[in-house]
Amino acid sequence: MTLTRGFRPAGALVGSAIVLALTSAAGASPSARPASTAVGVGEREFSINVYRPVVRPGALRLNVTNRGEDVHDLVVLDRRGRRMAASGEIGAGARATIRVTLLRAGTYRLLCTRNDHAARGMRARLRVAPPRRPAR
Amino acid sequence: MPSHDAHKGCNDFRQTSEATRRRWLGPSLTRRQVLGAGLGFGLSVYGARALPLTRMLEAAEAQAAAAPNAPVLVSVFLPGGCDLLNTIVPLNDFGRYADLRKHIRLDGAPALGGSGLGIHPALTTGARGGIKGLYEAGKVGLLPGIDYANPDLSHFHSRHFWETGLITQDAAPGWLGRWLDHHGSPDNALQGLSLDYSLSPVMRSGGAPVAAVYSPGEAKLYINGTWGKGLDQALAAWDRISASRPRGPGPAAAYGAARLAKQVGDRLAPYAKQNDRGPDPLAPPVPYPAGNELGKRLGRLAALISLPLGVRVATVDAKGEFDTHDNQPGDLDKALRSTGEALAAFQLDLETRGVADRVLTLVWSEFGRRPQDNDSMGTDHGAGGIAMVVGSRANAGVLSAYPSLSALDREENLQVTIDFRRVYASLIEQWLGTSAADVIPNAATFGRVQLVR
Amino acid sequence: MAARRPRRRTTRSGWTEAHVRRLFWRAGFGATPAEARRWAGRGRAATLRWVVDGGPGPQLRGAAPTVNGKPLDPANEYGHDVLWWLDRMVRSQRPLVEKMTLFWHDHLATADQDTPLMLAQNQTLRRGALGSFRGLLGAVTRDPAMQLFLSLADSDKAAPNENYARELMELFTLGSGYTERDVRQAARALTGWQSRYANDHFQGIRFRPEAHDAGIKRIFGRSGRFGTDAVLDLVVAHPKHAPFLVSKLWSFFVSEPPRRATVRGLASIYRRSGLRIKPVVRAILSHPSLYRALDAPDMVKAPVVLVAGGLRASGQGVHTDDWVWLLSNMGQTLFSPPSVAGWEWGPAWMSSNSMRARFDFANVMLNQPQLKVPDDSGNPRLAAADQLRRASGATGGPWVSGRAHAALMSLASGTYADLKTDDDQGRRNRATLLQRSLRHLLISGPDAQLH
Repeated sequence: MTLTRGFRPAGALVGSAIVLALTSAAGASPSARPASTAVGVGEREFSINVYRPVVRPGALRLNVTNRGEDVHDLVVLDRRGRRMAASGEIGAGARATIRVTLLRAGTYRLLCTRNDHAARGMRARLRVAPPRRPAR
Repeated sequence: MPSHDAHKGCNDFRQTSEATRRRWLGPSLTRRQVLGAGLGFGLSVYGARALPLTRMLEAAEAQAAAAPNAPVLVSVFLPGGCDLLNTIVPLNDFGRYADLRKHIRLDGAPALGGSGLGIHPALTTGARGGIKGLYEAGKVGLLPGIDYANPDLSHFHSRHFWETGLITQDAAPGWLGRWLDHHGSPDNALQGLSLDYSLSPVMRSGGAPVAAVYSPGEAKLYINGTWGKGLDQALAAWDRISASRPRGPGPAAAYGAARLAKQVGDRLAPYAKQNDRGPDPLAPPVPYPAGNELGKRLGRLAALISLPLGVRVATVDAKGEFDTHDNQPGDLDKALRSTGEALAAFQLDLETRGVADRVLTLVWSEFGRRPQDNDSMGTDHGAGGIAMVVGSRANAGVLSAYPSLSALDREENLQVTIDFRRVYASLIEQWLGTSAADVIPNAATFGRVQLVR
Repeated sequence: MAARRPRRRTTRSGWTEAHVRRLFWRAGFGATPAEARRWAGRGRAATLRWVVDGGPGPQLRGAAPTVNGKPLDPANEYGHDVLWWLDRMVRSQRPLVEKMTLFWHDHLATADQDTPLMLAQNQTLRRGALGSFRGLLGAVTRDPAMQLFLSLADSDKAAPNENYARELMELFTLGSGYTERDVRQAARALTGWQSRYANDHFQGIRFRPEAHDAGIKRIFGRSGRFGTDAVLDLVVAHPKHAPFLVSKLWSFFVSEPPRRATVRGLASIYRRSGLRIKPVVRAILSHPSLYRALDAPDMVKAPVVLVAGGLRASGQGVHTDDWVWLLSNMGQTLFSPPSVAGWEWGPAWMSSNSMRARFDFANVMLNQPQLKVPDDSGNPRLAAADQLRRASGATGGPWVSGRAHAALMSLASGTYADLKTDDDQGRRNRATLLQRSLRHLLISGPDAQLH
């Protein structure tokens, strides 16, 4: 296992070549049209794993896969607990994409709101890092 | 209070092919069939009626003609583990039932004759009073308490057992596929039909040809950017190429699959809509519930069964949330309603087409649920579920003992009162008319239940 | 014979383009016509050396693909994990490494885990693809995706989970020759691995001695305070292991079952090399059985081999995500084997449905820039053989049987029969359709499913 930068929370598990692919994808926005950044999310009983836990401000696509056996959902909350976006029910083995634009840097919370799933571990964080160049 | 942890069951992630296969059949990709991906231009320009019948087609027709009244067995799967207690309610032990179902007790479930049991109100809607109406008309046999000894409460394990008819985690053909291996035709893929984009594991065979067909229009082979006579010529070349019978298992499989793929498309081509706005040759003669996916598929199946295509066994998956860990009242109501209404329309359809006497439907789910509800308005995985047989010739009534609510098993689950393999063996013998031992190992040890009259 | 019947280039060793094509398909993802020519000229020894040991230069040739105008994002975009590996299969200059990575992905099957874990495991398998089996087994036993899949993570001394111990013996190393007791005792020895979470994130797996059963276990008749590595040493030292693994490797490359003497010989190579994989694979790829019936391929191509091979042969890259659903419909989604036993290979790949998906694959191929036949581009004056030659050239000269070749020739020569001789537009149209049909049938026909 190679320790890598840039993918910190799960970084110890990721080979270096993959991290290179990730960072190059994140940096590239070839067309003039502002492209959204994909964030893979895996859900199961009872955890949520975010495959790109740090993003830059902008439009995001949360590509959620329910790898568990129960129905789950995914809700994005901002620092003050305001609901920024939510999926509907995601059945076992099913997928859902949540589109959300997060412009303010900071830490957002992702959780499954079904029953006590969040309390049992189905919560995660997504950090929006400040833009590369200061706005002013 | 029994320990909650032991029964949540959903911590088990090991999965069999069924679930894994579904990963890529989610909505984002299935809707992107080739036909829908902008490659299908030219397809609807030219109907396939003029195509010559190959030897295969004649064989298929011969099979259907030789046995025009051959019985058809339909398997309808309710994915998720359907709850017994709120689907068929034990009115005769209501006090104990109410103790167990503290949060989601169903009050006022309509009674099923003198059985002492009630039925979920969602199963009373639809054509002719829905499932309840069919029960009263003597067309439904209920199988409460169905499962197998020492039930495995993983969806994927249990489903695999039901699909194969074997209590093993090893890969194996499905039980209906195995039946076709023994008693099916060597050259008619439509004999075993999954109304879906991919084959149900129940239908996977060891060698007998089977097919997954979602709609006849999508089964036809076509070549991107060709049409009319040019396409005809190319497909005729395909026929000539694939007519070879090379030796060796690999080449034989490739050539056999090439013949079958063409055969399925050719056989169904006359029943495909000629274009998006054209009439649907398979349009049902009776109304089906609107926006009901199971109904849509069953409607197509009824039509295909009534045609001389040699359909013998078929599988359809129900939609809806039967895995009711939470919000069971709403979810189960919705799931049972759509399933019951689709089945009721299907039965009326078959009767209207005059084929109801040769169709029997087995409705099943991979397990039941805990007798005691949880704190989330739901129920966790449990033993002793519910299955039913539906059809004009189904043996009506309650065909297995309703599990006792006071004598639970060691895990505080319902006792299993009938093994699903007893039902399989009985269906094979009583309905398909062949020996069960060919398909179900140790079939004799499971006993029999009368499912057909 | 190929549709474009190639000249027989035979070197003194009897090494022909047909030999190269067979080797490249079985050991990798097919040979382009240029590769077949080049390696037929260089001879058997040089070709085998290049295939097994690799050559100089970068592992991947050509530019990385873009899909929808963006580079692949294997961890975060649906299906891009599949495309990412498929691209390696297409562009790799070490095709045997990719093929063996595929072998291990099937043999040490893991599924349904978080994508970054699966991608990390894939790198582990690639690194160990041709090295020491014991080393690979040690890495995979510690691999988080595997540990989570088979419940080795968090199996502790209070309640040892037998899942991994059982599959380790049954599927990974032995097949037979052990008892239930061996499984249970090995499960005890394998306890102690724990998954860690911090700040709501999975942090990997760590060995915690206090969760490990340090007592004495008895496995295969030997007693000791065995731990994870001791169990792995025991299973690979078991007399059933070498024949089990070399037989499985053989069946991956050769359709006919190995003779008993062949298994003995390979097992001996394997043991003498210190359980290294490469010498065994080299011996299999050199074996005459691999080159039997060069004019009648008899192994069914696995779906990814079909797709990667088709793209390679026609000089295409992975530039659309259509391959993802096509592979799924054909029955092989990478990173998602159907169970811990992997996929069912060989004739089992073929059914009316999977054939239908392979037919659709050819349609998507016809839509790719290198294979697209523009409207109104047909030339009705081209002779039948030239039409077929053109189609075969575009698709990389795929093998077709004599009978299929005759059927395609008859299609090409009879296509204008119903048109008037002065119907120029009709004949031009028909020539366009013919070229599309020929390309399609060369990619989709039953012969194209075999290698």
